[in-house]
Amino acid sequence: MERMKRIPEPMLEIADLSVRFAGKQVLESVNLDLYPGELVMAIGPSGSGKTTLLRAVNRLNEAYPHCNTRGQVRIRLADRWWDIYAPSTPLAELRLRVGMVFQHPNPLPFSIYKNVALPLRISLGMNPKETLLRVQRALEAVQLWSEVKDRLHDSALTLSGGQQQRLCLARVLALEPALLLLDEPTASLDFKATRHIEALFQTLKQRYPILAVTHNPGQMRRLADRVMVLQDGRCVAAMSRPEIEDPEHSRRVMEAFF
Amino acid sequence: MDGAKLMPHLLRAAALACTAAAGGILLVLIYLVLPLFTSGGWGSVIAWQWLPFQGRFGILPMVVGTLLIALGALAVATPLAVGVACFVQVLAPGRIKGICLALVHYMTSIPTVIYGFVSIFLLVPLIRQWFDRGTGFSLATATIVLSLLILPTIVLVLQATLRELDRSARVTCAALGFSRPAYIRHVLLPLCRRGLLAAVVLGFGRAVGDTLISLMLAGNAPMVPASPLDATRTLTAHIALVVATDSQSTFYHSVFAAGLILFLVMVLIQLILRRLGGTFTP
Amino acid sequence: MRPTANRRTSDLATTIFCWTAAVLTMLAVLAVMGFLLYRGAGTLGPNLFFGETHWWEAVRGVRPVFDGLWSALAGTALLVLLSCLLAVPTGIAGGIYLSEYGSRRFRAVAGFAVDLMAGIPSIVMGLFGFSLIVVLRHTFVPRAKTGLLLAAVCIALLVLPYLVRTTQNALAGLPSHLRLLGPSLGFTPWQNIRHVLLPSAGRGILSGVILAMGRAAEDTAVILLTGAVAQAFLPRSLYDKFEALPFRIYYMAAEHRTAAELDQAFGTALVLLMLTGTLFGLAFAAQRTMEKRWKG
Ligand SMILES: Nc1ncnc2c1ncn2[C@@H]1O[C@H](COP(=O)(O)OP(=O)(O)O)[C@@H](O)[C@H]1O
Ligand SMILES: [Mg+2]
Repeated sequence: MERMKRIPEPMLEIADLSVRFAGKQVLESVNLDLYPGELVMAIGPSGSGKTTLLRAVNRLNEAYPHCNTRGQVRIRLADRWWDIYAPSTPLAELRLRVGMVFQHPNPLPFSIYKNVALPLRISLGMNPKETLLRVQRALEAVQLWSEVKDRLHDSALTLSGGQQQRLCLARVLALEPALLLLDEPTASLDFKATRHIEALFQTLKQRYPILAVTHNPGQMRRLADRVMVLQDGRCVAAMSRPEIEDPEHSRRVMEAFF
Repeated sequence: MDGAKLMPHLLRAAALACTAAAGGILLVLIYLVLPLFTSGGWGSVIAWQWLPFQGRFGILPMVVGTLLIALGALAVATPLAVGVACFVQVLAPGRIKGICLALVHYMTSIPTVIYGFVSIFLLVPLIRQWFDRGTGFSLATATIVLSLLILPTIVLVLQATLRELDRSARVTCAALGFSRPAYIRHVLLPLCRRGLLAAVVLGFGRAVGDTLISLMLAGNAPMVPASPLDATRTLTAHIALVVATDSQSTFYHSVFAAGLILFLVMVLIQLILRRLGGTFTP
Repeated sequence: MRPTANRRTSDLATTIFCWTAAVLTMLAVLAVMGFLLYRGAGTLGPNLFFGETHWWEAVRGVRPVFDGLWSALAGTALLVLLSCLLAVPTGIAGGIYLSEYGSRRFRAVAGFAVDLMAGIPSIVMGLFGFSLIVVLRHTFVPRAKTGLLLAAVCIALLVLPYLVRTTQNALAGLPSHLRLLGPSLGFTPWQNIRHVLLPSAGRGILSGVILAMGRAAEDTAVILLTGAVAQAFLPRSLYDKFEALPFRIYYMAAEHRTAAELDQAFGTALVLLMLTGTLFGLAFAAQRTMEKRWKG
């Protein structure tokens, strides 16, 4: 008899998640498990609730008015399960462990260095020396260091779109999150910058479980290990890697829902 | 020419009239202080003693009084206003935010004479009792009440800046795990410096220009106060007192000089606000 | 997942600071209003306004009111009315011109002049009016004296910049598709303003007008120098001295002789507060409906 293979535990469990904004149903009964080392992609037309799904994981929907969330989202940190919506879960600390990159690059109007350093100093209470090291490592990880090392104290707003997005990624990586949420991170970038960032994600997914969102089937084909198709807030189809790689199959799924 | 063709010209005339009015007021004031320049009268006005019946018309004590009261009011109101603005923009729960903001707006409409009146019967006796010195009409009393008067100006200008910043930075910072107080300290406040400066400058203008509060509460002694509990007199109160008491016209030079100084302070403030850029009207 | 102790204390300090500031401010305002209500509410009534005189005779001016604040109320009303008659058309027209017609240069110069005027302290405006009389006396009109008309002119100058600015802002705040609507229908600029822009911005302009009325009603420093007096009957002409609510409050604060007079002073203050409060409420409501309409 074959020895039973140990099933790895997921990092993130979304169970029966529903979100409403001012009474309008935006997500309905969404379920998802995310395992270590994989990149799961949610794909769907705009307005299908992709961003809302990501924001449900770090409770960012609550930053908007009239939001009502039901269902369960649990995350495993240091071998302990945390219910994200439990009142006892410290919110700011949770958000530190769940890194999010937004659809549009959103550097703060500080210097390049301060953008990465500020959360380290404030949220992690790091001393200046540690911070400097961490910032450098994070900027190297997104291959931005060589481009900005001589102008660290220029405003982050002077960077190009692709550079800004990599800066935002570095800012998140510097916090050493347990999980990455990527919300159409290349939507506002040109072709070259997109490829650059996609290559980064290929390497990052070895180290972080990633939940990403896109509306671009090509990107999905290049990056995703698993795909869930969202439509009007509901998960209407799922694909595994072999299915994604089968051009016929994925085309059929896409055509059915787009 | 029919009515519709005439209209733009009428509008233009109105706009010109508004512009001319500002210039006209300045010209009249300058015309009135002109004798001071020709007769070398500035020396008698720029002096430390106001003893009009002995021919001493110095208004420097009033300049100092104005500065002390206005700066004192700023020192009290600015931290309070920063707290209120941050409270309203970031910390306040939904309903309280609305109430608080409406109240601050409402404060702008409370007549200054009411602040003065109420303070005479509420604050002045308290000050007299607590410190057991003087009449209670003092620099300190006027400063406290004046800070309440300029508070809404500062809060509203500051909050307008905070609102813009908050719109772009709130979600980003939440996602980075900033607690809301940390967000206030490390992101909002460092980024709103320009708006804060504009707010403070506007508040200073309000404080310097107010008449009734200092007139009713500061005691009006034309001297440099030695302690916060001493009485003092501001430029605005000086104008009111001298003109309203039907004094001899030889006193008027000092009053016109005071008016010109106030006007020039306002010009300076406008220039500073222009330099800061943007529009900062509460 | 625990915040550092250091951070927790500074967070707590920030939170406490902001709450304290807000609570203190609210308490201060409520104290002012509460105190006035407590001392003044009892005096409200026909007696406060008309004393022993019958109200209808007082309103018709048949018999003078000696111990009520009818003449102060009427004086303030006249003052507001007159100054608005002067300032509202000019201010709105100026605002329209600045927003819709003026060249860049003109806008900059006039904008500066308007801001400057908005900054002029009201006592300086009063001084301006007073010196006008002094100058007139020495030149053309030896019998010129301060009075209702002069006060109204000065108050009009005081509120003029607010009217210009609120009109300008209300027009500037309109969405651009509205601005293009007229020309796309072949309207002239004035037709577009008259039939599209002004009706859309009306509420915003209205709120500016109401706020200006409030300022005209509350200002004390101007009338202090331009003809308000402690005892007067209804002004018979534009050149008469007059009574006004804010001046009466200022005067009675120092000059009350009896407890009854003091009570009346509290009543007067309460009346003025309610008047400006009502005007504020109306302006606020007008502004709110305007914002709702255009910000969806
Ligand atoms: N803060 C919000 N308030 C109200 N409705 C919202 C909010 N955020 C999203 N929605 C609504 O939810 C739906 C899904 O939005 P979103 O998750 O942003 O879609 P996607 O990212 O797939 O384009 C949209 O119809 C949108 O109008
Ligand atoms: Mg989206």
